[in-house]
Amino acid sequence: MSASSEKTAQDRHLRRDLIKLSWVLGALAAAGAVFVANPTLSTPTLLSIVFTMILSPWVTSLERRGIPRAASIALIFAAVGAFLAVLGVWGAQTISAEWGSFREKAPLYFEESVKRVQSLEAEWKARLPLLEGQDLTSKLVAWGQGFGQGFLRAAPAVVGDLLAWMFLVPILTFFMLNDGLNLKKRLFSLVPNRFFEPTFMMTSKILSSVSDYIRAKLVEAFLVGLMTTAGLLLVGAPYALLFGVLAGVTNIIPYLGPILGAVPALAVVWFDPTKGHLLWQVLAVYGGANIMDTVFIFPVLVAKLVNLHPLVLIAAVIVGGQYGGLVGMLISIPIASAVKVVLSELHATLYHYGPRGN
Amino acid sequence: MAAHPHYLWRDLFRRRKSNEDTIIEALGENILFCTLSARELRYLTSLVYERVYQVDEPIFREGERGSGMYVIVAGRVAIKTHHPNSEVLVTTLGKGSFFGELSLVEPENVRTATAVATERTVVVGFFKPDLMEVLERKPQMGVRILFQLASVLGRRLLETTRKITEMKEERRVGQLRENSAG
Repeated sequence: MSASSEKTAQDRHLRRDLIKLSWVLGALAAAGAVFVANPTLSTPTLLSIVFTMILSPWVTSLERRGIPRAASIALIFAAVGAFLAVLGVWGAQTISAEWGSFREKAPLYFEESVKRVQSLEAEWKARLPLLEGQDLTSKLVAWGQGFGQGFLRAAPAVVGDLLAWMFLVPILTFFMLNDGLNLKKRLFSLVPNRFFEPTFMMTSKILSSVSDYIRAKLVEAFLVGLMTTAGLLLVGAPYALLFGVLAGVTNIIPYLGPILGAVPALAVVWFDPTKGHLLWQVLAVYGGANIMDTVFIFPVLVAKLVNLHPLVLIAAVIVGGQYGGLVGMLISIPIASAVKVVLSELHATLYHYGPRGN
Repeated sequence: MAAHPHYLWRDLFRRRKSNEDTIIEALGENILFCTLSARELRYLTSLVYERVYQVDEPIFREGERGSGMYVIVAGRVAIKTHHPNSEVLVTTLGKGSFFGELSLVEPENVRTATAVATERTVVVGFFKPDLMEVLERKPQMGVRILFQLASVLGRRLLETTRKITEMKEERRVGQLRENSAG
């Protein structure tokens, strides 16, 4: 075949592939828009994807022992369900007792905090005459009351969402674990031939790096939560389990998370006149847990998986927070690592590897 | 005018049952997968990717990065290599043949030849992540595939060694003839 007729054939395929690609990208953009516009749909789906990534290795390990996939998933669900039920009963009792006590003492903390802020304000006004005429305490109290009322107003909706997720997330997770491969195949069947292998390689790398990151981050959160709870129990701080769980959960947010997790516990011991002496000890517990995390846990578990410069990570978290709030911060690092995979693949394809003879 | 065989709706609503049987048959006849049971072949079919290529459409090109091999279910594929001034046709493969298997084991994943469909061709792609999936989920099956792959690569290595030896021998004989003539 002559070079010109081969070129014409390639042009014909290129036109077809570009039409197909624009259809696929259009469909993906539409699906993405529906997701962004409907948090009721996107949040449980995102949670299900996370759970699928967490549970997938366990299902695989059962399957390796000869148990069919659907049965393996059912077994894992039963085991996780039983564990959560036991943990839930025990944890709910402990946390609800701690929450009840916290609620009882909340007015005391509120009064104490207003007194402290008033004395701080008076001190600052004496030092800085510029602040004269400013009623900072009233403003702060008004903001606190507004925030509290807003929280109470939103609470029923949040509880409703949580109940809906409790039903939706396990169902979606089951189907993703069972039919994930079929879904992946269907999606890839839409990719034009010319872009198939690069897309396949890129997607495989992204999925592998994101799922490894999520698993590592959860182990890290669990260890930080455990260390914090143990430390708070050791120093005799109040609500050790509640604040330990909170420290573990907030630790998932890079850089900002440990600070967010420490603030409530520090505030409680600072505002409680009977626990004021524990302030430095509690600070040491959070500092110690953070140092252990930064020096040992993060480098061993997470850093080698992400392999991004700390400045890039901080920038990603800031951008994520700006556009997506708390959820944006949570997903900023997986998105940054996915972008890194795409860019490094593109760089390798464009500058190191490419078809010969064209 | 013939209907275009590879548009979006065709991909989505293609009849899957008969396709699956054809793919199972093609995989079962292939040397890499011929030791697998019917059940294992069915599982393998759930992993592989079916692709349709038109006349003169490249499946992959020399120097590009690739991540796996293809088995021809229908049609013909020309394997070519590029030289500074020309393209050399290495071989033409038909139904049941496979190509690109080096990418399953080669760390850099660089294609060493170009594969072009010479007629409308249906292939199934089996890629490195799929092989890893098989090894993780069904290790015994994965080991059988790897063993067959190793046999194929070993046989090719032996053939290459034999050819190199023959070429060297021919060159030595040629030099001896030149020397004796001189």
